[in-house]
Amino acid sequence: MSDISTKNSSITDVNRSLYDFTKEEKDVEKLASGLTEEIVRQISAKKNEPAWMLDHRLKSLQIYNELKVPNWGPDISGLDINNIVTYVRPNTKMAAKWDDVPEDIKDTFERLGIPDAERTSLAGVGAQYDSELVYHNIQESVAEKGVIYSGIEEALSGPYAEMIEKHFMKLVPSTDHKFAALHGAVWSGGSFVYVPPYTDVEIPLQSYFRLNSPGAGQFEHTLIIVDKGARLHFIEGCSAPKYNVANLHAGCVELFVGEEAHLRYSTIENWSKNMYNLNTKRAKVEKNGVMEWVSGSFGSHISYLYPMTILNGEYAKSEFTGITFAGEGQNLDTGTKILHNAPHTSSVISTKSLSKSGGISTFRSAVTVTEKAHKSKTSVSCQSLMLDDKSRSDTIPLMDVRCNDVNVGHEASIGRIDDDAVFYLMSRGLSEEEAKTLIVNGFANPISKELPLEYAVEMNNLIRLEMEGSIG
Amino acid sequence: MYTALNANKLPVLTWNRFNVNSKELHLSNEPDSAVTPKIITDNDAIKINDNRTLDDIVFSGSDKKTEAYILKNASVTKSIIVPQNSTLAAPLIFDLTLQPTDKLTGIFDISLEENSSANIMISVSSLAQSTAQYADLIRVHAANGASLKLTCLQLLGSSAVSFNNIVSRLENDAKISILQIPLGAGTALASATADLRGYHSSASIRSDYIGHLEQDIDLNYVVRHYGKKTLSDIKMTGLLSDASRKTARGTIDFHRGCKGSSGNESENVLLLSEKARNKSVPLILCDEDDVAGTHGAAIGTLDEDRFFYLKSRGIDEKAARQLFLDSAVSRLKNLLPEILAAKIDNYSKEVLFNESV
Repeated sequence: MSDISTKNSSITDVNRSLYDFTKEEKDVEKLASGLTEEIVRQISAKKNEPAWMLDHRLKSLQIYNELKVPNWGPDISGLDINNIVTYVRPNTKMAAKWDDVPEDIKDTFERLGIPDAERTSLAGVGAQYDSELVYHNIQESVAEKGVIYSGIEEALSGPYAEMIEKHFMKLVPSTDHKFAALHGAVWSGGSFVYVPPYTDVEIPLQSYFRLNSPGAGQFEHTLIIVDKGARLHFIEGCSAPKYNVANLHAGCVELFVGEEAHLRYSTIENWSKNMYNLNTKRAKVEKNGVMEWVSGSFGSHISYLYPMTILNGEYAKSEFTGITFAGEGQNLDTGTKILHNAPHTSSVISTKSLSKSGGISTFRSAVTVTEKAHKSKTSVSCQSLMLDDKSRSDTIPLMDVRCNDVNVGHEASIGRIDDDAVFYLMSRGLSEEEAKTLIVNGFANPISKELPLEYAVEMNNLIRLEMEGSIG
Repeated sequence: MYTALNANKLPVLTWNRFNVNSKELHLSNEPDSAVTPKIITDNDAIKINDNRTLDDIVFSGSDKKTEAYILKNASVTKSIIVPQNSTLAAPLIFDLTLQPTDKLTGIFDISLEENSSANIMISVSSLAQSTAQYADLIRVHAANGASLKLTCLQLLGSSAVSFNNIVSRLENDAKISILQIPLGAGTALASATADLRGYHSSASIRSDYIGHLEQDIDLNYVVRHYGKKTLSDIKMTGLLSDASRKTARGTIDFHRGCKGSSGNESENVLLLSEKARNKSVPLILCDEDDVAGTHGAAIGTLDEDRFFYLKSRGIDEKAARQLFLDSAVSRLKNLLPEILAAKIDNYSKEVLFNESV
């Protein structure tokens, strides 16, 4: 692990040494690579799940085989599902104490700082290692409020089974796109959260997903239901060591935000640079509800990531704040989708992207205002900073407005560091390098300060330290 | 028989379900009708002939299949050559009047030799009730220091199909200023592509429209910056009334090496009807760091304060909307010489302000 307090003099990319360590695969159970009906049935059988779920998996497999890969976005021809192992089970059961987690897995999460964060600043933690959850715990005081935070598979056979059946892949149907169908067929692990009406979960919950196995896929499913008037902050983190073979992440997140409820969903995606991150996230917000996304995309070889919000009730609101950092070998296609489907809804999208060392960063968005969304407002702002002449940055927004009494605003800018600003700062005594570093920090800070505290320190370090000495 | 085309292609694709990646267009394979353009000019220096003169110039264009259809089917070909160092202050106007069921395919090759300048206008019109089909390919090559102002006015009838398609290539210090007014036709496509190859070349593309009835307006503008210190400005302005719909694509594409370039695109859409529908796809593609690209869009309706003011002066909502239509027509007329402004007047009387339509 590198000493992150040491300043770099010439670094061209995000420092990944914190995440890039591997653990030997001991006694793991791996299914054959590829995707067949037999594999899907094997996954289902291992989970002893209800019959409807097996039906769902098999229908999803059929849809997967019928759908084509997208004809837009980054090239994913390097991903061959026949080489991907869709299920890798670590040799352990889910524990509620870190001491009961096998030493090598526990060490992994300790190095990532998860148990420490749980002690200091989280109300509950879920930790997934390859295809299975290995740890799940919630603070007693939060559980006493009636908040449910458990593994989704565990919840499938408990008192919330009916609720899960009612919501599972209803926001993101398998027909949505090919990799949603793949998820529907082979999903494994993930978390279920239910926050009862008017319950305020004051401290965040966090799930962390670690993929250790080379050539494997991770397909966790996160289902969160925040009932009327309740509040929750949920944090999702993910990372993996780098291998020479392609790994795949095709998780799915479904968020149901009830009337007057408030959900903040923060993600720091820091997959390794052999990862194809084809993740799908979607939230539905009812009357007066608020959905806030904070999304940091730093890792992956290729990303397709566009968290979507459906503003389904009057006066529902959404805020999307995102930062994407594409370095060498990365093609990160990120953004968001908003559907205004009720009167007086409002949304604000604010994104920043940085590309350097040949990285490709694309901002892609779609704002749809339906016929029902009278008096709605939306504002999109995306700014891209090119840090050298080897990189690429594209902006591809889309607005579909089907209602007349609305207010839709959009602004975008792409450019490099302003020479005048550098000149001004140099006239105040800063060196050119210091001036440029300060400007880049200033560009990223409005977003990084929105990151959850336990990630903010880490991510601010990543952004700032990597910039120092690397500009110019 | 028809040829199915995907015109107005977006340079980089996005989600298919929004149907913005291209515009499906079916153009008839029947032979063209006999239409002779009326040419209005008072300048002898300009050379006009009936042969294609720009086949050897490479244009990035938008969709090669669509261009191939036009090149194959064109019955009207006009080449305009503006000699070196000559300036055409007065506009050169090509006036095409189609009968209600006419089909016309045209090619206009415009060559501006070094340090020349010209103001060229192409007007296509028909009666209000028309099923005409019009498609053109206007190719422009502007040599070093040349400058062109190009205006395309389309006033075809409400069931007509129109595709006004401009491709251009600009050398050092050359300039092009394009104005497209796709006012008529039930299906109105307009496209302009500028290749800024030369140092300090620039393109200004402007589109003005008034969507009405069930009109389907489809716009596609692309400026590709190749040369250093090149400039672009794309502006799309319009209003949508009745059940009209419009898709606007605008792309600023900075290629590697176009250092010191800047591009701006902006769009203003006024929605005057509950049934109107607007789609906007403003792209900035950037493969070069030493550039500045910006985009801004505002899509909405008349603000309530303005309505309130008009109501306080005794003008009801319907009359207010009519006022805005009227002012949009006046704005367009002010951009054109009298002869073309009069055509807009006629069109607006027959279609825009004719409640029986």
